[in-house]
Amino acid sequence: MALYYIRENSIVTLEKEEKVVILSPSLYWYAHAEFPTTSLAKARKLADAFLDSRPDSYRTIYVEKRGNGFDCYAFDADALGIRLDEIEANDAPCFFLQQFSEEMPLRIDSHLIADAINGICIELKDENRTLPTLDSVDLYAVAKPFNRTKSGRIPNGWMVALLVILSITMMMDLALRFQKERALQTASEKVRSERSIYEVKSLISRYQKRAGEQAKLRKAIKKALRGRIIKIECSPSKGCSRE
Amino acid sequence: MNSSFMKAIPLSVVSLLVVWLAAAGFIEYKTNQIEKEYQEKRALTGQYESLKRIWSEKSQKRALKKFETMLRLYRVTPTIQKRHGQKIFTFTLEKKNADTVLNKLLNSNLAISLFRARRIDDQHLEVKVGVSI
Repeated sequence: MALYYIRENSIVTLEKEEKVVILSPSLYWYAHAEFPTTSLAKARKLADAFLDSRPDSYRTIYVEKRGNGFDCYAFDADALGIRLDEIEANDAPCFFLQQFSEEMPLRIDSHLIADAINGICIELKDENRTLPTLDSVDLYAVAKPFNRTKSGRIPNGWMVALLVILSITMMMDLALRFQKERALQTASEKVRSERSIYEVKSLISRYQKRAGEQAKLRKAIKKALRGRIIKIECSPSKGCSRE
Repeated sequence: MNSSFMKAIPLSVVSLLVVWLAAAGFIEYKTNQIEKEYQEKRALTGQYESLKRIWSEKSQKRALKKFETMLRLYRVTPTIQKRHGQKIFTFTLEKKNADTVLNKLLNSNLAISLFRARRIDDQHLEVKVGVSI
């Protein structure tokens, strides 16, 4: 008898039940994402970056188109291979339990996974038979994005908070810088005289020249006055001459 | 929505940082310019004000008045001539006042353009002082 599961209100024939192994969510990393592409190859590359919080050993990426986006899976192909060998299902097609999650109330419980698959999604010839299911011992050992809504929201909240903090910091920093600039501008405007800077510069050089000349002249006059005076004649240009 | 939101967050962070850096850089540049201009203006104005107190026309007029008052105090009557933008004071100093009057003249802020001193006799000195007006 064929194996069925229901997806998007249609019955899809998949494989013979002997060839099917269902992988429980504890063996892969999952996320649903909308990528700006329709190419599976591109989506696989994007999913590699998108699932960056997965364990390091989950290197193999598998993507499957669903709705407007993609179901992205990452798993450890070597570890799965070993486990498939153990149950002698080398040539069995493997299905991620998440592929059935739209159709069943998915409860993540190591004892209930197989029942849920068998009871809701999959018809088997022998009612007493269960599908071979690969499962890890501890489902809670690694945090898993089973619930895609939840997995999407928690980091987003943090990101938004960070963004808000960054914006507030930016605005405060810019406000302080602007305030400093305005204060300096005001102070600069207050340093005003009735003359322009060029006139002031020219007057400074004129006054400095006069101050230098006068200092020199006074020194020369004082020197000339020290001795016995008969006749002294002094001017800024010629200095002092005496008889 | 999830993925577009996830894409928008890093983009927003990068945009914010770019805007922040650009705005901060611009304000910093303007602040440095204004500060430099402000310091230069302050230094120039300060220097100008201190020189102006001594050498401006107004200050020279004040110094001239002070000099005339000083001569009157020592009962020195000068002959005043105006020639080529100069005011020339010619006066005779007695020996007892000569040092004081000449010291006061030399310590004043007057812009002296001419100074002549001639001994008349042992008690008197004829002084000619030209001041720019």
